[in-house]
Amino acid sequence: MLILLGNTSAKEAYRDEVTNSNYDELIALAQRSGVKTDDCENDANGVARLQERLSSVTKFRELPGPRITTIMVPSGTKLLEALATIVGANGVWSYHGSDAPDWVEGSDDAAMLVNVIAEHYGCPIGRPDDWEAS
Amino acid sequence: MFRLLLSVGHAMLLAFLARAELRTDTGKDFQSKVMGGDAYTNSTVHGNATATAATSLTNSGASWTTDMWRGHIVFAGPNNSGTGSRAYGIVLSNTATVLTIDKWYDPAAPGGTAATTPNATANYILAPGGGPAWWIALTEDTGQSLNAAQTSLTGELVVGTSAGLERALCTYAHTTGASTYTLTKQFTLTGGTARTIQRMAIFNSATNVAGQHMVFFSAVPNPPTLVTNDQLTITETVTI
Repeated sequence: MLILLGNTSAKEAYRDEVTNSNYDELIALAQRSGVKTDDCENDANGVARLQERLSSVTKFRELPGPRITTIMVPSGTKLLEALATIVGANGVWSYHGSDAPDWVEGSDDAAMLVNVIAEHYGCPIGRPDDWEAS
Repeated sequence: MFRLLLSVGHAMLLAFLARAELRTDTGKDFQSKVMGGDAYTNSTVHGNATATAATSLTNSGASWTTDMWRGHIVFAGPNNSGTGSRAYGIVLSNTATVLTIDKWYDPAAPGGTAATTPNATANYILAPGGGPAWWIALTEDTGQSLNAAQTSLTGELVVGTSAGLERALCTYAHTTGASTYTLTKQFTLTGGTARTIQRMAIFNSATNVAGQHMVFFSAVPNPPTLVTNDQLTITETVTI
């Protein structure tokens, strides 16, 4: 099932490469980032563990201009699972857009999913005639 | 990072946010093949099979270089008389005349059951590039070293007491111009044994077989323990 979403609040996830090896600074950064520290001693293993965990923290940056997010849901996926996968609190859209999509379109086999997404976000089905993605 | 989102009755909905992926050596080979097209020069990139089976296609007149087609897609359709199914397979290895594939996929539902084996004299085409790496697998194992040389996931969870957590097809998403894409899967443990998810990997094949490409390999931070009916949503963000 193919879903296309108009996206004027696009963002993308990224992760920092953590090269800092100062234990105290890593602990402080980990605590600010909500990263688990209770099993990280002040030794090489502990530092490596902190670096690994901090480098796994997902951050986001904005992508300017109107864009289109393409989502391909495997055929046979149940409607509720597909919906949760896309609009759930940590679903697909949360990794691609900050606000509700501008519009939604889909393939013929995704008609019901398109309707539910449109209702969920309060966005129209079909892109405006003057829509131009960057 | 792992976050508890919702609890409804006995069912928990859990979400594991994307983490840094380790691109494996075989993943680099795979990426080169898919994006670069690989060595796509052979007079028998298409033709008629002389035999087919559930995991192979033979052209006795071919003279392929060993494993030149590993990772590529082979499409097979009806024979010259119009008889036979339409399906595709991911090539795991090949000899001069035989392509060994993981399974025959139904093009309309690659995540479903295997397609009917194409006719023994099916028309076939070997595609440039390769099949997508959109299969995700999980394990409880922690002993396997997290390094780029790995080619399979030790202790991969399979149907049985881990039912619902077996290798599955992901939902793919990409925003135009972004330097990443995401692969997302919502798992629901239906098996009766609690499972602690420690590692995950992304593959180009539906089955755990030699010749597959394990493209990404990741540890799961704060590994979640699932009991029956728990749900776990995993999103892998891949930097292009």
